[in-house]
Amino acid sequence: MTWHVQTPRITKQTYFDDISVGTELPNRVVGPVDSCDTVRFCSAWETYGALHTDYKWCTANGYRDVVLNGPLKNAILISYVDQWVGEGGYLKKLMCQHRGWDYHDAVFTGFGKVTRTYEDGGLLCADLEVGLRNERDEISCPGTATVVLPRRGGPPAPIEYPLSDWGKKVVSNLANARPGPARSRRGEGGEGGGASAPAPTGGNMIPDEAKAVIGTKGEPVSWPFPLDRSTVRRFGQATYEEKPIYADIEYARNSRWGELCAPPICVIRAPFDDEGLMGEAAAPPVPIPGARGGGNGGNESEWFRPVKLGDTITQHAYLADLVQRTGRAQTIIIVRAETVYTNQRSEVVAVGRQDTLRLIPTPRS
Amino acid sequence: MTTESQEQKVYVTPEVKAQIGQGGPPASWPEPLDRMSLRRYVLATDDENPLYRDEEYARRSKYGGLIAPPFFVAAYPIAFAQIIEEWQHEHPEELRPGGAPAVRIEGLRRGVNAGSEIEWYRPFCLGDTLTWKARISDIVQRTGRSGPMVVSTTETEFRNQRGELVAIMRGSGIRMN
Repeated sequence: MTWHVQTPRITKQTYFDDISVGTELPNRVVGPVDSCDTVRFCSAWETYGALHTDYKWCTANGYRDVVLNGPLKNAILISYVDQWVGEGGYLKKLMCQHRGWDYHDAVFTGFGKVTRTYEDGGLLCADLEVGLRNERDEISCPGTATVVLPRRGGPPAPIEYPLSDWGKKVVSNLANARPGPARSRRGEGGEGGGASAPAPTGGNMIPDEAKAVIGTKGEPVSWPFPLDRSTVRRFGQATYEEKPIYADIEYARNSRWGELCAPPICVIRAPFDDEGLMGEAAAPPVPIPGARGGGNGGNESEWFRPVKLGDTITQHAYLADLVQRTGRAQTIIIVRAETVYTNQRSEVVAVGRQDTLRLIPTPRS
Repeated sequence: MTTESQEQKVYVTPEVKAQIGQGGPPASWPEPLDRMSLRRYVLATDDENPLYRDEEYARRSKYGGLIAPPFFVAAYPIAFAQIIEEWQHEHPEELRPGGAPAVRIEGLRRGVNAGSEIEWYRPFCLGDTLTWKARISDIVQRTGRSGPMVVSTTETEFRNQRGELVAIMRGSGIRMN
């Protein structure tokens, strides 16, 4: 009925001195993730699609149970790495792919390994291979992360960072993007149209009208209210957050952050409006005939500064690319949207890339 | 004969009656009522009343700002149930903060929710925090269609951060065989 974390809380500080290539992160087991957990997450995120809530709908549509949200797994992975770096470290960047379906009562084991340690502009960094293994022993959520760690006896990792090369590129791509086609609101037609049109056969499945959307941006979307305590609490409860700067206001106000902060997943996945419009959904729509949508292919995010109570985040997304992968049974079109997250002072707090999958079944000959 | 003796059996013994008045210490959580909580509640209940969702309208009203819908007082503690449950898990011997213990009656196993009533005294406003305290207020025996039953009532008092009474909720439960 609530989250069951089966291994002890990870509260100790990880130091740069203590790791080297090959060092393994202690596992963290989360689950079984049951219907209460998904309700809690869907509520925090304000997304209520049948795929993630409705058993009858899921089984009638060929799924064996309610499908867990990709962002929920993303959140569990982020939280796992974020706790490992401790209060003195900083989770800089995390990429995660979604390799398959997970269902209610899934049990995830977070795992990770250091693949590189280096100094970058005076910062002590480590690259990690991380992931979630499910109860069927499949790696359902592989990813990579970059973290900044303190040296034993040294100062903690900074909490604010200049834009990285990737961050600069995403910001500049957005600035140069043309306004894209308007997105229809829910109840006003399908996903950019074309879902019921016949698919082109063979070869290039991405029509010119879709390619024309690359490099265009959607409307900026802002949080309806400045970040308030109940939002932080809901995300914390939904993702079993244990780091005190996201959970304990007294502690946070007396810390070097100075205020209760939004957990990283809340920055990139906060609720935006009644329809839960966010991430790739905020980029212009892409018409791909014959394709059904929109599996979650994964996401990469980089954070540059904390988001605190009272902050209002605006996200602005553009269509970065369309990539075709043709297999025997189906063609997958990866719709890649990139997003800049800025606060009310126009400071970039994060950038992200979201891959959404459109599937075109190969016609039987 | 058996039926008659069952009907006459007294379940609300003096020991059972002695549970009246029992309740845990007050519970509160220092999270002021905020826009996001109100927004979710009115979306979930399809409540169109602008007093709960339109800041401008509410400011010009006699309340001077947004207030919570009436039943929200009952919902508010539920947001913190998980936190209280974790505390209770670590303190199994203590009475649950903000709650009343379950009424124990020898011989009656089934329990059902028999409904609740709420009295409101003043609005629960944006920025307010609540403290709530519950106690068993009544235990009586009745005879229903399926035999004897015991109705117990738990009274929960909600006060704001100034100690002012906001609402009293009385929830009843039935024990039967």
